[in-house]
Amino acid sequence: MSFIRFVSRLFPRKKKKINMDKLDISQLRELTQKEKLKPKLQDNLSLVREYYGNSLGLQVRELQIGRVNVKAAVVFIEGMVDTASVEELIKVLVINTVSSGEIIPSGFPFIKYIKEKVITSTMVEEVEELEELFDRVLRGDTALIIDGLETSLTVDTQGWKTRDIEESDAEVTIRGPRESFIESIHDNMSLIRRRLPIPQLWAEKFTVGSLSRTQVAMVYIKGLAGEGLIKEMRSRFAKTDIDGIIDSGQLEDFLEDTPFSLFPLTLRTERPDRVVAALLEGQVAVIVNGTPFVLLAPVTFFAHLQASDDHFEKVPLGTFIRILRYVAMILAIFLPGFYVGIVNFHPEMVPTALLLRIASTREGVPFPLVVEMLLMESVFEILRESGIRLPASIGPAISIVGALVLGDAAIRAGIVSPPVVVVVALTAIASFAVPNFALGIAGRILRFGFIILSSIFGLFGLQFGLLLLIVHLSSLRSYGVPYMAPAAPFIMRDMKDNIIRGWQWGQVYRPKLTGFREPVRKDPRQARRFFKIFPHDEEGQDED
Amino acid sequence: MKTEKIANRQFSFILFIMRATIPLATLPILTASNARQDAWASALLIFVGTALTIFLIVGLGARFPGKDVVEMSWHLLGKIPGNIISLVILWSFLHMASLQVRIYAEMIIVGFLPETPIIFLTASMILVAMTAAFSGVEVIGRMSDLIFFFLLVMIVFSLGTLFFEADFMNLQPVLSRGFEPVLVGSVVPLGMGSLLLVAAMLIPHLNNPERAVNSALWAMGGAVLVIISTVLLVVATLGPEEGARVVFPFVKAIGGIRISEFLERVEILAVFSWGLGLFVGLSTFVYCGAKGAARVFGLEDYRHILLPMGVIWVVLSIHDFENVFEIRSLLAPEVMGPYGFFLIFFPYLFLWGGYLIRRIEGADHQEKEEKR
Repeated sequence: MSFIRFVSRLFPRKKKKINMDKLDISQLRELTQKEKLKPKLQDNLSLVREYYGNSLGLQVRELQIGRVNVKAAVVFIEGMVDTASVEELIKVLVINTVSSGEIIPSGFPFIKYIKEKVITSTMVEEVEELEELFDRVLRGDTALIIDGLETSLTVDTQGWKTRDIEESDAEVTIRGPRESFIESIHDNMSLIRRRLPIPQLWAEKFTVGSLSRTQVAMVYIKGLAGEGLIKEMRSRFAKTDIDGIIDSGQLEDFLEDTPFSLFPLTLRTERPDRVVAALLEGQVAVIVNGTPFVLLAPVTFFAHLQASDDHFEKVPLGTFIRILRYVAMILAIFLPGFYVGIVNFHPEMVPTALLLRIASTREGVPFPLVVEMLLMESVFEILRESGIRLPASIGPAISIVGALVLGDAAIRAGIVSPPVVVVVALTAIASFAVPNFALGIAGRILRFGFIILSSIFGLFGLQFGLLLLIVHLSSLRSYGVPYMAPAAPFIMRDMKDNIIRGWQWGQVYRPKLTGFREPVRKDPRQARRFFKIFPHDEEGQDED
Repeated sequence: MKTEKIANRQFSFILFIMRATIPLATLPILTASNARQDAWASALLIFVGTALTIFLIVGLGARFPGKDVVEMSWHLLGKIPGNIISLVILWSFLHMASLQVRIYAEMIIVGFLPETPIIFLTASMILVAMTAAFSGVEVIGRMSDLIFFFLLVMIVFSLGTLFFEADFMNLQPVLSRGFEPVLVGSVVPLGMGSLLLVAAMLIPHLNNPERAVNSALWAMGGAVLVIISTVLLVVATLGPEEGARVVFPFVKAIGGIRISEFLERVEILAVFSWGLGLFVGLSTFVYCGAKGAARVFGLEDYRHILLPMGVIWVVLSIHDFENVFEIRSLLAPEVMGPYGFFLIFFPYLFLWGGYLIRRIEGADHQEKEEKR
């Protein structure tokens, strides 16, 4: 037996070279995961080169560490690293170990010596597997592979170009912070942390996407967000199986409760102030690397109709704007259907003069009212969609074509009647008042349903549709929180910041369903200070 | 499976909405009775009668907070008699629901959409109600939360406008025909009180079943207030003679309102919002019916029999009555009175009997102690 072993050692079997062309991606991934780092430097380097396919950007800089003359190499990807940091790393390895003149104490592991006494970077990790090494190097770290060691070190040298923090385009406010999130998860996290500098702001890390390996953080205030909610969120993350995530919208599909609903069950926002306000009410934020859109959950229907300004403006204005927005939302959904129903089925409701006017304009129009309305609504939707994609330089062309050619000419040609155009225009303007894009889309789609329903049953069609809508909205839940809360189920205490906006000192309690762990937000007694009718009467007794 | 829970407030709202939307459809039975201008007095009697019914139905239900009426009847009377009793109650749900659907559909057809086939309307309405029932009692509860305030605003608005149109001299002379017509006039609405049987199905879903009687009484108090003011104002607006003749007096009364040049014929808005309330009732009926039937036939989930029930319901709503006048003949005191009282008293006589006998025997106490 020992003889055979001896002979086989004399003729080492040539290692079978892996034919990468024949392996599919999942097999390749599996192979990478199995591979471990080897003791010889050259073996490791060829391993890295082989798996990386010698693609563009891989830089291998071989060197000898200081006075001990140990062969080593730093491996990094160009464009992902901050060159200055890599240079600094090489400098400490090559020069500093020499100049310090220190001798490694015997018995002190070499890797520990390098890690603890040589490298000056803020973050150093030991890795033993190829997969792990790639995971770090491809995120901008630099790997230090040392000859003779099966463990290599990765050093944080990340540095790539990111966008500057700018004002949000999609969520504009008049008053309030201007900053908005960008694509980098760490910058986004810092935007939140700057506003909540407490250690209880926890961010749990997840990696989602088998290929995209996207970093996702679940952010909440420990002790304020419900543990059940956090557990549920974690379990949904665990169930998420997807090859790649590019935007938080894809993750939204996995995190939502009811995928078949038109209505958004998580709230997307670009604004850090919005996220912080939500965190303070016990909600959870999900930050996805590579997108400025942060998800908030659980959310309610009414949260989608709020904008940050509401809280920053004075109370009467904030309330007025909110009510205006609700009215606009109702108009955007129901107005065309209402018009069709009234004119077709219940003309007695229309004042006579107006009815005559409508009838006279409709004379000669070849279509039934429903067709006319659906036609114009569709045209408007197409206009809107094409307007989004157009470059800014030809954007105005669309408005000219839309306004003049379609609006004016269609009326002149007698294809549509002017009141229909007025209704469509009013609906369109109203729909722009909805601050949340996702909710706006729900309204846009529903509008068509209501037009068709009221063309069949008149206002009763509208009623049936409204009931179905109410049933649907009441049956929705976002992470266990009823979607229509606090209207249904009715929670009196939470009404102060939904349809109206109460004074800050009056908003003593957190929302019952999310902030239940510590419902009292601020001293309830301070409200009394503001209710004094004659504030000067008690001036003498005031201590300050 | 986790039991769905609704708040006592929602329970009150559901009962209030169910009871308060009745006068819209069944007002003729009040105004068309012999009581004429004294219909409001009948409405007062309704409160007393309904309160008694609540004690009868909800009072027993609250003694068995975890059991709906089917389980309760099994417990008190045994399996087979219990099932027979339950079927009577379930039939009342189905019949009341089909009656209400038909009345609402007739109202739409008479008032607004004369050319629409009635089956088209009833089928659509039943489909909507079934969707709500399918979503479960929690959703019905939340629906009632949303609709309650909407309804309240519309009630105040429509009755408020009627107030300025009303001529209260129409209410004189008071009790001119004596007390008998008043008494007779309250019989039918009390018979319609069999809708309170839904409470017996809803009690196990309550957050706080011990206070169910309280919640139900609040709901009835509010509802009777609405009924009284509606009857008063409608009779005062139309006058007793026309109030008795018109098929849907409430719609007729609202239709006469003309607030300004610009706002007239708003009866559709009133009907619209009353209809929203009606659907809460319909959904509750079909939910309770399906739930109870599933229990009786030993099914796990009531959702499986919703669709067949819906079909039966549509057929019933069409073939039960030839036309709107047949509904009126059903709602005559000599028909509806005994029928409604049978639906309420027949099951509950036995149930209370069973309860009292067990109480005297002390069986319940023994069971409780065994459990301990």
